[in-house]
Amino acid sequence: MRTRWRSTLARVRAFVRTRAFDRDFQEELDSHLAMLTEDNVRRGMTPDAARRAALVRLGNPAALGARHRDIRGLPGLDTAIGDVRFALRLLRKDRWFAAAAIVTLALGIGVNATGFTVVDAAFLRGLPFKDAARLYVLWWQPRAGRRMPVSYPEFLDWRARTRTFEGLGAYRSATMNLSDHRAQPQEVRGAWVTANSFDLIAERPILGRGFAAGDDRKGAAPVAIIGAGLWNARYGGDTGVIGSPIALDGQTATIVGVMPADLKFPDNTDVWLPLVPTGPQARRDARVLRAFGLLRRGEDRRSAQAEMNAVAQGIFAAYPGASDGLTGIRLETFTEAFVGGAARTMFLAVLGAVWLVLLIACANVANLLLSRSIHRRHEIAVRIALGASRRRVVGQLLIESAVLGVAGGLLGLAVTVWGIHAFAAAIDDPGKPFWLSFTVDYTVFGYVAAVCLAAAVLSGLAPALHVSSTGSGDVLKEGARGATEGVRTRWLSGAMIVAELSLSVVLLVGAGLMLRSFLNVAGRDPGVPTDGLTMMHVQLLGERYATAEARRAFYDRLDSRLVATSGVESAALTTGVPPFDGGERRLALDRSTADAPRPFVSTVTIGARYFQLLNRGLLRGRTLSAADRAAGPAVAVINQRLATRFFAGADPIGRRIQLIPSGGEPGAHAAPWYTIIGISPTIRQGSLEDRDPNPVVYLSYRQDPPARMTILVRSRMAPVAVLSEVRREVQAIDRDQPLTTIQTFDQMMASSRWPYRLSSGVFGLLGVIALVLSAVGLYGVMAYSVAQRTREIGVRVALGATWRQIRWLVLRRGALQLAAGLAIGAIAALGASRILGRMLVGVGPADPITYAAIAILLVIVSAAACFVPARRATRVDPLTAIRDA
Amino acid sequence: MTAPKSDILQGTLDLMVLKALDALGPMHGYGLAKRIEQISEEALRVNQGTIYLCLVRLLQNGWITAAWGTSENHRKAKFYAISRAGRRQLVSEAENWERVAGTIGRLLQLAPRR
Repeated sequence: MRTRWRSTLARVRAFVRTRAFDRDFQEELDSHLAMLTEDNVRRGMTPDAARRAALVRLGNPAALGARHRDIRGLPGLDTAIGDVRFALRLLRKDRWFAAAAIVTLALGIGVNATGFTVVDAAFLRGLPFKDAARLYVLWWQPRAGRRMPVSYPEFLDWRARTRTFEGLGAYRSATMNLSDHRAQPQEVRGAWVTANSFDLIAERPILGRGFAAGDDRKGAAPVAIIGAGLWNARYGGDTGVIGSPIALDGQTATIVGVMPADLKFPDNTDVWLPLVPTGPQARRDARVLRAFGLLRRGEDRRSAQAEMNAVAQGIFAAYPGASDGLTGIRLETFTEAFVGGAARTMFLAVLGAVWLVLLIACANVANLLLSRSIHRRHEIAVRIALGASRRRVVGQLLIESAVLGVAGGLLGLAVTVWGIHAFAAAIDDPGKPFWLSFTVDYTVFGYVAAVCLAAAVLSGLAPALHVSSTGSGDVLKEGARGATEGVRTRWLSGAMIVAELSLSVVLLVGAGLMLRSFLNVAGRDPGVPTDGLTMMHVQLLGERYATAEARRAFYDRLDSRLVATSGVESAALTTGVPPFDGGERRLALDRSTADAPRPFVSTVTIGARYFQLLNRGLLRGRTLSAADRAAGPAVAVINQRLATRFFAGADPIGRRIQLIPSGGEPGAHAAPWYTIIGISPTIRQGSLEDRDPNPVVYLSYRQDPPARMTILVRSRMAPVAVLSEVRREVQAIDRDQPLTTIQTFDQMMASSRWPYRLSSGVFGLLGVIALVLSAVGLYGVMAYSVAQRTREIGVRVALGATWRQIRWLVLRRGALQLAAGLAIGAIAALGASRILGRMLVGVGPADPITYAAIAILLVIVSAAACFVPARRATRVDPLTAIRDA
Repeated sequence: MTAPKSDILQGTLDLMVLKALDALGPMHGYGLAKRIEQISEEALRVNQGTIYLCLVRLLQNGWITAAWGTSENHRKAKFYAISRAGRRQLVSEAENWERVAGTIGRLLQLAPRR
């Protein structure tokens, strides 16, 4: 073994220092020759004859040198390096070809790697914790539905019974009001976590301490830990913050630690409190906790699942009444748990699209290589005739495409870095999980390398095999005559063009459908004047606002103060800013039977000035007013759409409707009845995705004051000025009450259209790249074929063909390829666009308008790509063509 | 692991070079070629240069060492010497060779059947 190792090392050394070794060997041969000549002279030869005889005796020094090099070095690598040098020389000679191929590959690889990076970050990389692969989220598995959180007593049962998990933790997140004596009160993302949570994810505080075992026991001194982000922003990184008091929703706690800035576990969290369930939260049916666990080393998901199933059966047996509708315990990785649904579809669609772009780029480069290698047929035929093996020729051609692939990959990496940067900027959304970070890392680097190789083989193999298989004799004869291109060549490049065109159709149809969705969403507006509208949210939390009475009092005082605020033209309270609603409930009518359908309607809880603010008067009846008190009869305003849909012709005013919470059983008698007192015009209050505006029921906050309301203000002041004015009013009522998230109406609309804009932008960009690549490919092949057929065209013209016939001769091929590409592409697109499914709004995956538009677009672009070569064909001078070609 | 497999002739040449260096001490390539030609016309059947293809292999296996020096005629020449690993290889190769030769010899001495 050691001998082989040593000899390999020696070979590498000899290979690296080839020149020095060559010189050394040549000197040795010289000395050998000199000694041999001397001996010959001594035997009586003339010096000349002695030297000649010595040369014969020793052997040809050049041949010896070559064999010596092969034995001592790495002959395979030597050949490869020779090939690379040769390829580089050829590419430098053929600069335009090289640039076209490299740019094409760089686009394909760069776009592909960008898509991969996004998917890698979202699905593969997982959480940035030590042992993240052993972390699982645990849920109840209900009979109907996907998953359900767990209650505190049930969580304790799980924890007590599991062996496969090293530890189980649980948490609950909420928005909390943070107040202290240092700065303005503010809204923060808070979480109650079990004391072991930070140990399970192996994270330590950068200051102070983490939670200790006793912190989550009932009656323990209340403590809190804050994130470094909040620590820097609110406390200026002051180390004295440890030990100082902080009030969260009015509950005082002592800050004991600061966690690192990049730790936002579990839900972009800024403040952590120990999970100490009290009162109703400690009940077995209060399922509000999310549980997670760290798998013991050596255990796998299957054994854990088996064990948790047994644990579930044990709990079902012990508490038969409390486990109705549950079938077991569900294990999910964090990625499975929190990147799902539409995001998953979106990411997978993007991944599919970037692979299509790469395939198109490869087909393009393959065509370029093919037409170029036909130029080189003569050279290759000579090499084969001189004894080069087919393997050697194919290898050499593949090395050429590998050189292109590596160059394209390096440039593509730059495209990736830029693309990821642009994507991360575009997707900077506060709602995304904190552990999603889009960066180029070693995985991506390795992926790019693999893709380069794949691209090189994909684009180089077919041309290389094709060219090397042509009989050398034929080519040498043909080449001398300057014949037309072979049938097989034409077929191969035609097939690649058809493939390119059909892949482009798939991408463009996807892009077209996304664009139509975006336009549909963008075209839907609330239908009310929105200039100068800004909105702020107020959330009444904690003991102080536990009762409806307290919340009503707060809103009443706020409502009356808002009108008097300087600079405010009008203001109103609502739970649903158009085009959104405050929630859905099922509707029951007073005269309907018990088994009648209960359709969903949108509900919005408003203050008295809501319609006035939106500049919309009621169509009939009166609006909700200060006169509708809690004690009086419950009243509601319905919109025109609800009136026409459910009261067809009859007068709804004075009729009664029941609103049933959407989770509840239809016909639940506890749900309140409302008397209709007015009909409003139809304002879109539902979602942008709905085709038509929803039926809406407006309720008064005075009769059912919600915990969270939005303050809508119309003003000519800057949004920040509005915020500070309104904040002053809010804090005049309650000094500890924060007011957050000021947004103008336009900002809100932009952010709700954002996913559609992003996806149509991404797909549109990919579609344009695909279109340009295919057009360039088509043009290249057509132009090349015209150049090849110059002589044939000359002969045809000389024999009396008209220009029209010539033009058709050229265009026919392009037209046939286009027709085939469109047909295949349309069928593939029908299958592929089904994946987009839920991302499409107001347009089906088989939308005829989109397909027709894409077909027309491709026909125009292809015609343009064929037109120039066809014109050139009609400019052929028959005399020159026949003589020169 | 012993030496990589080689055909008989190459193996013979390796063995002859090692034995010559072991018996006669450090030598240059020309000296070795002359010495081996004295023993066997066959071994360097094509030309003397073949000896260097054998030497580079032995060098890479670490069985011999090489250094530039001055010849008896005051000429610059590269001298080869056997290493400790080379001696071990020589012993094992020689044993192997004798065993094979012995077997073949006994085989050839078998009396034909009457």
